[in-house]
Amino acid sequence: MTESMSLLRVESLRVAIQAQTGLVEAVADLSFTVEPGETLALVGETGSGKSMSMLALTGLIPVGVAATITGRAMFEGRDLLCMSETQLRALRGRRIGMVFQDPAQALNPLMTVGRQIAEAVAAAGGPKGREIQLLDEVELGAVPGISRRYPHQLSGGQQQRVMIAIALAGDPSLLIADEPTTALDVAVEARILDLLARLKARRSMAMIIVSHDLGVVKRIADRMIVLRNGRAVEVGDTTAVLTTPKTAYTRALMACRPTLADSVARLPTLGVPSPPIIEKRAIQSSRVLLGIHDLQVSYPGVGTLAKPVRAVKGVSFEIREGEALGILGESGSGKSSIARSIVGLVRPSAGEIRFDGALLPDTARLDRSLRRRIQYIFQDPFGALNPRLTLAQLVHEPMLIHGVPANETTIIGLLEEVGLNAGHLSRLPRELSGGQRQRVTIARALALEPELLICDEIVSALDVSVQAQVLNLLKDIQARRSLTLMFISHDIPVVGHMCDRIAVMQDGLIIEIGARDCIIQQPTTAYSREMIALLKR
Amino acid sequence: MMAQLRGISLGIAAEVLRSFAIAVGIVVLTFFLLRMIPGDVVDVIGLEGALTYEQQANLRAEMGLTRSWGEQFWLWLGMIAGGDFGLSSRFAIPVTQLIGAVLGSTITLGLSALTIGICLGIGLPVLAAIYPRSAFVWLAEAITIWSITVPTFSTGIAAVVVFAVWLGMIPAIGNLSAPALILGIDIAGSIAKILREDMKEIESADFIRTARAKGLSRTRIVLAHILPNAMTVTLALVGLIFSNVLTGAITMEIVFGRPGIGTLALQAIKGRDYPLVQTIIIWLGIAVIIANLVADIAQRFVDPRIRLR
Repeated sequence: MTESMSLLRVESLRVAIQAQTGLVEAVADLSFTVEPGETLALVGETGSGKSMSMLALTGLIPVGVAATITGRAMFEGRDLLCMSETQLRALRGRRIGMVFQDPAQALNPLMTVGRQIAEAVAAAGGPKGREIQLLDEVELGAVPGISRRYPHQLSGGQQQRVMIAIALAGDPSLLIADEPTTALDVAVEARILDLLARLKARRSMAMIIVSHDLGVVKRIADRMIVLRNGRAVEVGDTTAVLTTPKTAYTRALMACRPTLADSVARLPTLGVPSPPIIEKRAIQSSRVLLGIHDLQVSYPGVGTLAKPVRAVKGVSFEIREGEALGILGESGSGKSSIARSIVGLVRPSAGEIRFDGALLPDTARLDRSLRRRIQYIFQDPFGALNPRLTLAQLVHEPMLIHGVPANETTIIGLLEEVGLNAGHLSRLPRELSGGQRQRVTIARALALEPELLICDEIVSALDVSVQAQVLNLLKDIQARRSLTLMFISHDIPVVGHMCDRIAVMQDGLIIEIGARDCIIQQPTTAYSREMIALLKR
Repeated sequence: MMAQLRGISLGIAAEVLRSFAIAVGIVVLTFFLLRMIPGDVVDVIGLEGALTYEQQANLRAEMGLTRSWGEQFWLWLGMIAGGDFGLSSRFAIPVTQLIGAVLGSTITLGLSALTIGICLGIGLPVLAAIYPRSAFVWLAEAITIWSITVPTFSTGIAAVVVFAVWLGMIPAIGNLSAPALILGIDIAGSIAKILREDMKEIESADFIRTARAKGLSRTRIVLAHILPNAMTVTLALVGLIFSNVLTGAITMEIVFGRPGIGTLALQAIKGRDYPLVQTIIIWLGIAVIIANLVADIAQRFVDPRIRLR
C-alpha cells in the first residue's frame, strides 16, 4: 500500500559512466523514496553521485557522456528509466521541475527572462501570460520591467528566482533543486531557501534538494540521505541524522566544517590521519607588517561614458607580524580589490599601502624583492596552474623568476611541507584533485619564503573535507613559519577558524574590525549581526 | 533605453572612426606598393607598340609619371577626395566606367555563391544538430573538410575540363552556375566549420540543460537556444567570409573566363594600369571594411551583453 503512495520510488539505481580510464560507477545501488509533499535532501561531496543520480532519473545526462543506467524509478506509477526521450521530455517541465546550481549560467543570455519563462509555460501547455503570475509567485513581480530584462541585468538571487519560476511553469508534483544556493551569498541563500520552502508548502509539491551543505539541508529538508561514492551511507529524518548521526562518515562530514561555537586547533578530516598538532607560537610582535591608509580602488565603468565603479571606498587597517587577519564580506564587497592592490595587480585610485614601513609604489611596477615577500593564493586551483607544466616545474618556477637557488631536494621539501611527495614531481595538474592542486599553489607561494601570505577565497572551490585538510595545512605552516596571513573569505566559520582578527566589509568599506571573538560573539553592526544570526539558525 | 541607445551610437561612432583609419591605410599602401613593382604602363605599351625612347619619355611626362611618388600621391589623393578616380592608362576611359561595366557580373556571382554558402553553411550544421544520427552530420563534416583541403581554382579547372571540355554540359566561358556552386560550397564549408564548433560548445552550456529540463523539443532547443548563441560568435567572422567571397569570385572569374572585377584587375596589373588597379583595390578594400563594420554593429544589436557596453 505504501508503495503505491510514494511519488517517487527509486530502487537499486546504478549509473556507470564510460571514462577514459574505464567504467566508473558514479551511482552504485541507490534506493530511496519521495512521498508527496515532502522534502528529501541528497547530501554528499563532489563525486558522491548526488547530481548524477538526479540527471540520470530525468534523462538529462549531458549529450556525449556514455552512461549505463540500470534499476527502477517509479514516478507517479511509471518507470522513468524505461521511458523514451520523448516520454521523458513530456514529463520534464510538466511533472518534474528542475532548478540548477549557477543561475548566471543556467539562463540563456540572449533571451529576456519573460520569454524564457513563457517558453517553459508554452512547453507545458500552459496559458499565455502565465509568466506574469509566475514572476509574482517567485516575488519578482514588483521589479519594474522584469520580464523584459536579460539575465545579466539581474542579481544572482533574482536569476535564481527566474529559474524557480521556469521550474514551476508546468505545476510539477516534484521539484528537483540541484545545489540551488551554492553560487549565492549567505543572505541571498537564506531568502531563496525560504522561498522554496513557502512554494513547496503552498503548492504541496515534493522536493528533492541536492547539496553539499549541511546548513542548507538542516534548514529545508524533512528527510536526508548521505551519499558517499555513489552509495547511501545514512538515511533518516534530518533532525535525527544531524543530532545523532549513526555513521562515522556523517559525523566526519559534520565535524570537518568549522563552527562558530567552539574553537578547535585542528579540524577533523576524512580518512587522512591528522599529523601532530603544532602549537602556534604566541605572537608578541608589535611590528606592523602591512599598513593600509584610506585605500580606494575604482574600476572603469562598463560603457564609454559610464561612471567608474568604486569597489573600495577608503579603507584603513594594519596587519602585525605573525598575525592572521580575516577579511569577511560578500561578493562585490571589495575584499579582493584590496588584496589585488597590495600586490600591484590593480592600481589604487587613492590612499597608501605600506609594507614593512616602506611605501609601496601606486603603480603596477612593484619591486621584485617586495613581490617576493608578499605571496598570493587564488580561489580557483584549476585555473591557477599552467596545465602543461609538471609539479616540479610549477614549484620551481617562482624560484627561477626570483633567482632563488633551488635543486630537487628543496622542491621535494616544499612538496612534503604541503603534504605531497617526491612521487608527485612529474605529475601534471590535471592528474591531481582540487585539494592537491591547492596544495601546489601553496607550495609555490611558500617557495619564496614570503612574510605575508594573501589567501583569496582559497577553499571556497573545495569540498568540505578537503577544505578542512587545506585549512589545517595552512594553520600548521603559519605556526611553523610564523607567517603573516591575510585571509579573504565570505565564509564566516572558516574566517573565524583561521584568524585572530576579522575585518567585516560591506559595499567597499570596512564596517567593523576587531578581535575574532568580539566580532563573532558581539557584532556591533546590524549587518554582521544579521550574517551571524543567519548562520546560527 | 535612451542611455542604452547612446551607448550603442557611441560604440558605433568608435567603430566607424576605426574603419576610416583602416581605409586611409589601404589607400596609402595601395599607392606605394603598386609603384614598387618594377616597370610602368609606358614600359608595357612600349613593348607592345615599339615606341622610341623619346616617345616613351614624352608619354611618361604627359602621364605625370616623371614626378616624384610623393607629388603623384598628393595629386591623386586630391582627385579621389573629389570622387575622380582618373582615366585608365591603357584604355583612356574613366576607370569608374570600366569597373561599372563589369561590376554587375561580379556581384551576381558573389551573391549567388554567398546565398548557396549561407544556406548550406547554416542549414547543414543546424540539421546535423537536430538529427545527430543522420546523414546531415556527415554532409556538414564533408563540406568543411572539402573547403579546407581543396582550393577552388583546382575544382574550377577540373569542372571546366570535365563538364565543359569533355561532356560539353556547360559553356567553357562565362558560365555562372558552376563557379557559383564551387565557391558557394567553399564558403559553406568555412561557415559550417565555425558554426559547428560554436554550436558544440553551446551544447554543453548550462542553459541548454535548462532548456532540456523545460521539456522543449530538440528542434526548439537548437533553433531558439543553440543557434542564436552560436551565431553571435559566427557573426564576428562575417567580414572574413565576405572577403573570402570577393577573392573567391575573382579566382572563379579567371578560371571560368567570366568578365568581372577579377579579370579586369588581372589585366590592369599585367598592364601596370595604376589608376585602374588602385581604384579596384581601394573599392574592394572598402567593401571588406564596410562588411566588417556591419558585422560589428549587427553583433551589438544581437547580443544584449555587448549592446550595453
